[in-house]
Amino acid sequence: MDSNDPIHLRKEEVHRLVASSNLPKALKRSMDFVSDFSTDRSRIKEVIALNRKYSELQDQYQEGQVDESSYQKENNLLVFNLLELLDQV
Amino acid sequence: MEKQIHHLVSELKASIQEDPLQGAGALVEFAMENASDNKQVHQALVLKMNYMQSADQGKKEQLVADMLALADRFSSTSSGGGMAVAAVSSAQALQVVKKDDIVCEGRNINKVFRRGGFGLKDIDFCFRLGEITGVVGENGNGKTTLFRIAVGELAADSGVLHFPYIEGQAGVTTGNWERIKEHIAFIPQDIERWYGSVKDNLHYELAVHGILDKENLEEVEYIIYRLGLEKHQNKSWNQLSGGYKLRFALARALVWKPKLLVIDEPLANLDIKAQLIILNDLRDLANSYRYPLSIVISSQHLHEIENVSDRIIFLKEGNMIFNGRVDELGNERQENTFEFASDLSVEELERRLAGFEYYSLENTGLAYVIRTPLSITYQELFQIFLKAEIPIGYFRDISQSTKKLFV
Amino acid sequence: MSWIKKMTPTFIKRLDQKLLTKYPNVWRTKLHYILFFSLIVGNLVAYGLASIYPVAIDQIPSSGNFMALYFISCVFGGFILLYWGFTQFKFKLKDHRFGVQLMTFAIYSLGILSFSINIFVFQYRLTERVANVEETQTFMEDRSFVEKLDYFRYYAGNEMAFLDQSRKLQIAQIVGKYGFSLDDILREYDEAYYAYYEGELYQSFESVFSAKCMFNQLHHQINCYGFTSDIWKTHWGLTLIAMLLLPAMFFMLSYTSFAVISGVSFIHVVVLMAATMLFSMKIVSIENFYFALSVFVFAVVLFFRKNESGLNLLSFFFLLLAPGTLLIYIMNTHAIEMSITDFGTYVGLGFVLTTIAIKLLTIRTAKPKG
Repeated sequence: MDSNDPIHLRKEEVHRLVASSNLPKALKRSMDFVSDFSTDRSRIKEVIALNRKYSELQDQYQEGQVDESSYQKENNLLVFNLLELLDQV
Repeated sequence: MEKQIHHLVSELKASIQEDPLQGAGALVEFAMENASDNKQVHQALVLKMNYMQSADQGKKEQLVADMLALADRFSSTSSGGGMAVAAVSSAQALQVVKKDDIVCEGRNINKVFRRGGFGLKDIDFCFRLGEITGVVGENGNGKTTLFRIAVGELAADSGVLHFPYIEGQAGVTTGNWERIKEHIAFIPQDIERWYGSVKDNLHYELAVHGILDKENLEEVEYIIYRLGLEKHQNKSWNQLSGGYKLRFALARALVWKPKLLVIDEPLANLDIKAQLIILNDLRDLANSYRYPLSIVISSQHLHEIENVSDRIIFLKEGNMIFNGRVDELGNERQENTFEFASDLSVEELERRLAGFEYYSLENTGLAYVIRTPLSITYQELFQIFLKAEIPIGYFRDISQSTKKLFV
Repeated sequence: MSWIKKMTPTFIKRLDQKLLTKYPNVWRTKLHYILFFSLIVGNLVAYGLASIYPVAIDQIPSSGNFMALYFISCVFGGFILLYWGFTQFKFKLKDHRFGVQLMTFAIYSLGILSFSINIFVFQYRLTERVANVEETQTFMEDRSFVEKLDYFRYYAGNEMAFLDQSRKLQIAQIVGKYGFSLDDILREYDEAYYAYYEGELYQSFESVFSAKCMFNQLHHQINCYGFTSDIWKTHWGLTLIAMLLLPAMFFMLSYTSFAVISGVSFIHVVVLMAATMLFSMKIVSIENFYFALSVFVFAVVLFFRKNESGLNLLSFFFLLLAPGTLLIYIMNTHAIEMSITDFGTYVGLGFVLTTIAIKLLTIRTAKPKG
């Protein structure tokens, strides 16, 4: 894989943001990634849905509607889905 | 090969056991380099993320065990061929806009206001796709006038203004301002009050730009989440803080994907966190691969603007003092300039710096500015201050900053 | 306003969202709300209110009642119209194509016509009920009997010595049928030389007669004319003026702020007044000259306002000039009371003038100013 390939570089950027636990930024950059590189408009919907889910999860957690372990589980699932989505683009 | 992988995995495991956080980073790097399966990369990323988020010791231990287990799996499955990517790169297949295309170019722009006699004198500028141009200068030095000319609000007295990239688009002819303005967004310093909800305004803005139906709904949702407005989408003007008003103005300007975005003093009323978010977003959006845009931004926050900009224009009394790339700032300087804060008086500072060769020492009111020969570096001057026992509140090398042009 | 949202049915809300993403230039006018609340709800309410308004043979609304009700409904409708107009600057008209501008103007006119129809429906239903309080032939007989009341009153002081008692009884019976007492009428006249009841009685008869005229129930009457006809004709005259003047103002609000509209409208009114004084009355006194000059100066100041271009203000001024001129013409020719045919002619003429004004407005280019 060409390390200067924009897709590769931008995906790696998201990976690093996830690794540094900067999920809000990772989600934003994923939106940019999908918008820039996906030819399939349904991917945009998917990435928006993930953003929505993240936003809702954060709210639920802050309001104490979900416990720590469920939050962690949901959060991880969301990140896996996000990373998978990036791979599909 | 297999042996080498085994060896690397052993090193990785040792690293994880020794310093789990650093080890987690190494695990991610290793996965990105060597994993044969994308899922393993994802697992490494999530493990590191969880480790960083976790405060519970028991949980951290469990995460370390998971990291070690994942490292073990690498040795049995790794191909050493790097991260497998299912999809073939489609970047080349995409119809993308060529970056560095000139969106707006002005040559010898002159504008004199009859009242007050103030004006812009022989200004040249060039705004390119994918670039951020920072326009700095003291208040009343022509920044807003320059912006209003560039966006076609104000006519220049003389000079040439054209929009090569926009005029190259289908149906846009030179001088057809109605069509040219369809590609230009301008956010003035005082954002005009709006009515209705954030969301309705975005739908309306997009619809009047001809983006209708499903696409309209999707694009609005996209920009709402992209700019973090999701919790405020149903709010009205009165319910939003200054920072969110600006974000909304940005969303409204960006939702129809203009090619030139001009923002006058956006940072003026924002706290530091909000400034950073806005500037980061602008940087990312300018760099878009499919929809790059040229952003022109003015601000008094010099360091922030320099950090985010590719080019800087410095205006003083309507004259262009500097126009070039940020990294070219101060390239031809004859001296180094440093700014520092100290409780000492000028006389006391001069006394303590006796014997040290410098050109000038000025008190700007809030700080001191010292000009030294080029041979004096940041580190050297700092050492000299320490030796001379000069108490320092802060210290900054402004030799390659527009700040130097202000003081 | 939240109460409007609560009252709005789901299908209108859905339509609102549809229009927002599909026809933004229609959405911003909120025509769908106007058509729903005025054309459907408003007309039903107007018809309903006029149907339950107390009307009976002994309780006939007088011409004064009709006028008062007309005035109240105009004020009520006017407030709603003003609110609608006020909302027009919220989402500015950003499409400067001539067709879109003309459509916007037409939408405003349509909305105003819709309000006018609400008022008309109320008046129509009420008039219809009044026309049917009594069978036509009986009413005309009653009317001719009662017209002789003057004769009885003349002899009231003589204890009706010369009166035919049987006719008196008959009249008392008729007057009683319409909710009045002949004794009261005569006593009132006797004691106070004051004819309140009598006036009321005549007004009631006038109401029914006028209403019957409007519904063509009096084919044989040569001078079949009454105040109802006057109200209706005035109504269409006022509707015409509203349909031309108000859209022009709403249209301007779609482009600019309330302050500018107020300024331009003020100048406009004053200029028209000055023009009327100077040219219609053919008196050019120093006061009038001073008046006109001050208006001119004020106009110049406003034209060079910082936030609004002079060209815009000039365009707005011309936009108001068209219906304004027509208004002056109508008032001078006393054509404010107009039949539905006149109404159609003037609407057509007004729209031609307004179209020209809008065309002038669209000539504005996006060229940089200054």
